[in-house]
Formats: sequence, C-alpha cells, structure tokens
Amino acid sequence: MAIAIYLEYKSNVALYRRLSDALRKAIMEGRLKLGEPMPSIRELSDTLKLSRSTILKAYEDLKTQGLVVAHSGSGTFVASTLPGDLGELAPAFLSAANRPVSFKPLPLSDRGRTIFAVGKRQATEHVHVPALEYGGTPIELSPMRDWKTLMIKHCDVSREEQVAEMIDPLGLEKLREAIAAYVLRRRSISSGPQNVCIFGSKQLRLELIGRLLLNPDDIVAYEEPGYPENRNTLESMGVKITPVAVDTEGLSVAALRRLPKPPKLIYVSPSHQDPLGHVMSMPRRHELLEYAAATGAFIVEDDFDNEFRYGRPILPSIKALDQYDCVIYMASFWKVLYQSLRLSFVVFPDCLVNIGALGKSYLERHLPLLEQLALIDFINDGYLEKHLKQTQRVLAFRRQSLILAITRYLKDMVEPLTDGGGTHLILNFQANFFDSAIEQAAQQSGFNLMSTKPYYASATKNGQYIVPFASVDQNSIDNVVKTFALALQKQSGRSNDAN
Amino acid sequence: MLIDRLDLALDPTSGVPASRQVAEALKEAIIEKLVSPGVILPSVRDIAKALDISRSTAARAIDELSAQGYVVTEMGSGTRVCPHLPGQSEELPPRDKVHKTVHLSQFGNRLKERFDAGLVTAKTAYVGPLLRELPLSTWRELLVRHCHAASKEESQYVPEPFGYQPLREAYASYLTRARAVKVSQDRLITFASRNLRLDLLARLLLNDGDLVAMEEPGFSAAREQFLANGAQIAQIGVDNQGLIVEQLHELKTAPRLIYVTPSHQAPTGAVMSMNRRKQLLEYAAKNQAYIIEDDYDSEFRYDGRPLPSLQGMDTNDRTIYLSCLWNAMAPVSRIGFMVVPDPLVEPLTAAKGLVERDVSLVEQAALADFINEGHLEKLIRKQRSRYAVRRQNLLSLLAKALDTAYIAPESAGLSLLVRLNNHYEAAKIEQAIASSQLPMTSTRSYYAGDARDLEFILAFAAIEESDLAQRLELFTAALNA
Repeated sequence: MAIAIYLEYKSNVALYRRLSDALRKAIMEGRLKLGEPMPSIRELSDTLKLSRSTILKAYEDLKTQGLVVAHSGSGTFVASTLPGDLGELAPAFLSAANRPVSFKPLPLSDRGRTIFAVGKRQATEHVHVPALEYGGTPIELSPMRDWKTLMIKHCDVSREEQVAEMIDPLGLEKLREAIAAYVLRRRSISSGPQNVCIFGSKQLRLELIGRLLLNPDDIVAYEEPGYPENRNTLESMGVKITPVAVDTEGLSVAALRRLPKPPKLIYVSPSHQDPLGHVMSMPRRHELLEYAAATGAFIVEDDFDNEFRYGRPILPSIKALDQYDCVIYMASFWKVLYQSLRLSFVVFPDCLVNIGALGKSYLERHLPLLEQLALIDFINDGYLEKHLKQTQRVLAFRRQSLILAITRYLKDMVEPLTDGGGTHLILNFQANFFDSAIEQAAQQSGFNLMSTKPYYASATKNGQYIVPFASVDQNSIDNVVKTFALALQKQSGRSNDAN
Repeated sequence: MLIDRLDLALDPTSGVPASRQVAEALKEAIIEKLVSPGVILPSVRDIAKALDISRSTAARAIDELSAQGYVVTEMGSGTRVCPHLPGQSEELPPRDKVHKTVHLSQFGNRLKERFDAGLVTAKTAYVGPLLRELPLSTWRELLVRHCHAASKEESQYVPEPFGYQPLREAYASYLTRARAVKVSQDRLITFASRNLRLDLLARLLLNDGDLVAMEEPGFSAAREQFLANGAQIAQIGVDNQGLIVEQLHELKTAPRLIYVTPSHQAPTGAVMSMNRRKQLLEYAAKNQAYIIEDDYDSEFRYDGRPLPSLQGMDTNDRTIYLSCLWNAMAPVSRIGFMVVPDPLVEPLTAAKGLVERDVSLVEQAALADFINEGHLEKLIRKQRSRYAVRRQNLLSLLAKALDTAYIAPESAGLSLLVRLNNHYEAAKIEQAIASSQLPMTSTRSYYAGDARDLEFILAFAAIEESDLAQRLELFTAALNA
C-alpha cells in the first residue's frame, strides 16, 4: 500500500513520535481510511528507512490514542470510529449569509456599548512598534535560559502539595512573601504579603480596582498625557476621565484642587511619568497624599517603570509614604520576563484587602502554578535583581549612544532633551516640522519613533515623539539619526516650498 | 555645627546598626523640629567625622532617611530636610488614627452583601486532576521547546486578544472533531482562566435587572457572576432529561441569557435529552435569547459516545459555547475557551482587548503542540479509563458503607451526586466529613432557592482508590461513633 508519509523535522521530538504524528495526520485527513489495514511494518521500514522497533513504537502510540486497533493474526487496522467522532460531521459553518431571516442579534447592554466603543478605539489607535513592545526592554536580554531551568524544575510531581494552594485568588503565599520582601527592599513598601495580590493579566489590575470602587459617571483624575491602555480600561466602565496636567514635578495637585468635584480615583505614574519621564518630586508626593486623604480619593500608583534610572534620584514610592491607607500600588515583571510571564501584582491598602480578594475571585480565581513557583525562585534567588542590573547597564550604554547621535544631528531641530522613561527619550521637534514629514523621514531612515498622540485624552501635541532606546544598535544609530536628519530637512524643505 | 546640637550618642552595644541609629536620631530631630524643614543637613563627610563613623555608614543613614521621605538629596546642592514631612500635615489626624472608609461601587457592594450573607468565599477547595497523573515529562519537553530567548515567533508576535493563532486552530479542530462544535478559529477565544468568560458576557449583554435563566440546582459560580453584574436569576427546574424547557414558557418575560450544562448537568449529572435540546434551541430562536452552553466536563463519559454539543445542533447561531482544560490539566494549564455567535465576535474582540490582551505565549504554544501531537486526547483517554475504575470502586464502597437513598445514575463527570436516607443527621455528617477529609460536599451552594437535605457531591476522580477507601472508612467510623 503506497502512502505518502512526510516526517516533519522537529529537533526536540523523538523519531517514533514524528512518525506517529504523520500517520495520525494521514488518518485525520482520510488518506488512511477508517477500518482499513494500516501499512505493514516492513513496507514502512523499507520506504522510510526506519527500524522495525521505531515503527512498532509509533503504532503503539497510535493505539493508545485510539486511532488504530490490532487484530491478532491479521495485523493493525485504522479504528472504525475515531475517538470523539460523533458519527456525523458538524453542519456547515454559519455565516451571516446563510443565517435564517428571522435572526436578530441580541442588542448589547448599555455598558456593553461603552465597552465596545472604547475597545474598538483602542484597537485602532494601538500602533504596533516592535521596539516598544515587551515592556520596552530588548528581547535578546530576556533571561530565558534561567527561566526555562526554573520552569522545568517545578514541572515535577513533587509539587503536588502546592496544587491545593492554587485556590487562593491572591496567589501563592510564598510568592506574595517574595514580592512583599522585594518591594520593601526596592521601594520601601512595608505592607506585608497579606496586601499583595498577583494577577495573570496586567490589565485586570485596573479592571478589578475600577469595578470595585467606581460607578458609571464617577470621576477619575488621570495624568495628561498618560498611558492610554490603562485609561481605556477605566473609561470602558463608563467613568468620567478628567485629564489633569503634568509638570516637571509630576501631576499638578493645584490642578486637582481646581476640579469642580474631587475625583474618586487618581491615576499617577510617579517614578517616570509615562510618557514624559518626569519624576514626581518629594513635596508633590506629600501634597498628593494629603489631597487624597482630605478628599477620600484613592491613588493608583503605577510603578511600571521604576527599575531603570540613569543617575536620577531614587525617591520612595508614594505607597511607602502613605499613612492614610489610600494608595493602591501596581507593578509587574515585564521589564525582565515579558516573553514568558504575564504575571503582575497590586499592593492593596489595608482597607481593600478583603474586598480585593473577593473581587479577584470573580475575575480570576486561579493563577498559573508553574509560573508562580518559578517566579518565587526568580525573586528570592537573586535572578531578578541580577538581570535588572545587567539590563540597566546595557540600556544606559544604548541610551548614551542615542543621546549622542541626537545631539550631533538633531540639535537645531528639537528642543533640548529632557529625560524620558526608563526605556525611551522624548523628542519635541521645533514647530516648523510637520508630523507627516517627521514620520515619513523616520520611515525612510529606519529611525524608531512614535507620536505621543494616543497618550493625550484632550488636545494632543504636535511634534512630540517617544524614541525608544532599548533596542538601539550602537553601531548603526549614529548613521540612522544622520539619515533621518537629512531626510527630515529635505522633506520639510519640500513642504515649505509647497506652502 | 548642627550635629553637635543634636546630641547624637551612638550605642555600640545595642546591636542596632550604626547607620540605623544615626538615621533614627536624625529622624527624631526632624520630627521634633530641632531641624527645620528646608534646612541643609551637614554633609556625609561632616557627619562621619563628627560621630567617628565611616562615610559609607553615614551615607547609608542619609539614604534611609531619603527613602522614608524625610530628606531630599539634590545633585550638587546637598541634602535638605523635606519641606513636607510625612504625616506632619496639620489638617489631618495623626498617623495611627487614620481609618479609611471605603465607598464601594454597586458591583463591590453586591459582592460584599453576598459575602456577608455567607454565600460566597474568596477561596474554594481545589477540585482538579492530580499533578502526578499528568504527562509531566511531555509538558517539560514542550516547555523546553518554547522557552528560549528571542525565538522568531516571540519577537514577531503581536498580542491578539483572541489568543495565539496556532492554539486557536488546534483547539478549534479538536472541538469540531470531538464535540461537533461549529467553530472556526476566528470565533474561538482563548482566556487565561475561566472566570472572565462569563464576566465579559454578563457585562456586554446584560443591563441591571435583566433576566438570566439558570438550572436549579446549578453552578453557583456562574450564578454569582451574573448576580454580581446586576442580573436577576430565573430558576428553572431540572429532571433526568435536563432543563425543564416548559418552565421557560411560564416566565412573564423571556430571559436574555439561558445558562445550561447539557452534557452533564451540574450537579445532578442529567444529560439533556435530544427532545429537550430541540425545544431549548427553538425557544431561544423564538425569543431572541442566547444560550450559554457550559461544556465543562463532557470529556468524561464512561458509557459509550457523548452526545454532540448543543451548539453544534443550533442552526440559528444563538449558542455561546464554553469549554476548558481545567478538568483535564489544571495544574499545568488552566486556559479556558469560548466559541461565540458571529454578531458577538467584534464586541468581544474589543472587550477582551481591554481586560486581557495577552496570555503567556509559552503556555499557548506548548498547549497548541500538546493538542496537535495527540497528547491531549491520549491524556483524556487515560484519565477516562482511570476515572471509570475509580467510579466503579466508589460505587461498590458506597454500597457497603452508607445507606443511600439515591445515586445519580448518569455515568459522567468527575463527581457523583448522592442522597442519603434521612435517618442521618446533617450536622454529624459535616463533622465526619471534616475529620475524615472525604472529598464530599453538600450541594447547598448549587441551589438558589431551598437546598435539598442530605444531598452531597462526591469527587472521586482526582483521588487514588486506596486513599478514597481509607477516607471513607474514617468517615463511616466517625459517623457511627
């Protein structure tokens, strides 16, 4: 019996498995018919040049999958019914075209329409800039080797006892202890493990906070400009987002005081304001805390970017200064582990611990076990800090070479550089350069930049760009910026002529 | 000099590090206003010299104060006492008296009410497969395959709200084959865990006060999700053919959603009959309602073929189908899936992107291979035969140990519904369960209305035969004591 078998090359898969996969495929595709005999062992070993024992092993594998049956004396046959086969194929897939005339979709709820509108807008405004993904850190610095070792170590029967601990929606106790110690060490937060809550998706953190605290039409004060994704998550709940200006000391509390009605929630990124990079000053931190305490508002401190500093002062987190039990602190491990780990966490104020755990169980009751176990070791055994240090060293170097190139070629085209975030700089182009020209020149020269427009909820700013330096190549950046400068001059000259 | 005024005496015998002592003394001086806000502190060198300590010790002390917010260090201009001290604002009560009152949202308040009434808890017991009965070496192999730095798929991967495409393709083909679900990968959504699925549906489709029809008894977790989002529940009875569809017709207003578990009704175990399925589909089409089919453990049937999914029979595209791998492989992957009708694809793309744009790529890629290479079906087969034996074993043990009034005859799932004869005392049984750790729980939480006395669920699957026998023995001993 002639049967075309293609053994896919997969380096990590045993030969017999590759054969059984191929045969399985042939059965599924109907090339080997139900109830018919399988090719004989000799036939296969001749055509594929495989040993008898490999083929026997493959057949054994197919047998355990229920795809073939052996009849003693007469050989091996394809099963007459495949496992899970229901005797009938699913009817044709429904599309709008062949749907009955009477069909009316269920209308969305009121909040459903808001969610849909905000989500759709987010999908369109989200620009995929590879250099800005992965939490902004270069993928080649990701400690995958260490991570793999830890994951493999914990994928083991001896972890049976920990399985029962998966029931805590806050996360494994040991992991929360490790994180509590970590934020105490690095961010002076002394809340303790009972206040720590682990999340499997970083967006769920604000989703939970917002759902527990905000009703539609409640006011949320949000940094302007500010990180669009989190603003969208809040906005999708129907709350009123009130943009509050940011100056070089961070969110303007004076502007907060001018609001006609105090907000219920205030969202800030004090370590490096996202995207402008300002570090919130110490007096401002106290002022903000006092404002929140006096008005009863909660502060969400998004510490997404505290890891990398380049000679700037280290200030304690707002959470560490909080005596009013009003700061909700959030952070993640994206800077080092984005590739394989989506875990992030919140440190609740005492007053939200119980309701936080309960609410969490509605949105995400269970967290991945292996990742949590691996992360405990990753934090406690010093991998995390080691990798942060290594990454910071590389980033500082790349940042320097980008700054150098910008000073060399763009000095007259941009306003003086101010610090951006931990992985990017902010460029403000002179008013005579149009955004279209800047973007075109960037594309031509391969210079990575992204307009800050999505970061603004109200009036956007022309000529303001985020330039990531995490993936900058020291050898070519000088040339890239040079080409960009030339292209921009040429572009602008042309459009000025046209005007 | 300032330092001399502060009267800093270090106590070398106290065991407290010198830097901490210096920091504490300075902090006290700042709080007591011996040093005014805004004043520049002596330099590290001066402090070190004055106190006869090393410079690094003095620097550590300053760092500590800075971290606590009492001083700020500015490049070039030295260290100042913070103009704004922590907890020193006059309008505010002193530090330890602050008591934050929390004003919860409606959602938050509903949760709190249910919690205060003892109807929900944050933690519930683990019911899922044993780790040692999973193909861990295969999973390790897959982790190794996908856990490596800067692989091509990783660096080019743009997060998709519906999940990693190869995984969606693999699971879609599995569902078509194994469950006769009408599905293509663009209608299949991957979720990191199970809960978000119903939460998203409730928010997208229900206004406050909208009606959701549910089986009574039925899954409490599902009921709580709907209630938390402001829905009203219509309790529809269940008999040995599943949901009693006639009762739907008696409702004054038609529900917007009908939540059912037709393959294996939770907790009674009833399989919805063909007739009822047709009636239900007809009802949904006529009343413009959506059916939510939770196919949570259809993999585990012990007698013959499973019935095809309800969704696969639906020619009106009114069924939302839920499936997940929890019961098969919880400790290594808890990914949940949802197949939605065409009109919901767009709204769910938007909504999912807002709450969970990303699920671990390693896990998704590993799972895709796990399915494509036949490991999933192999695992389920193995579990099925293992659990069938355990179920049989439990039945014979039960016959000897307890006087049961009724054992659900349907041969499916990971647990067994048992009713005891009423000469048993409920309180005594609870005690015996607690002392023997028998995986037996009252079905109370499954009922929105009055619960049935002496009705229990026995989870037999994820416990070895000898272990179960032992616990049952302890249980009967405790009961008869």
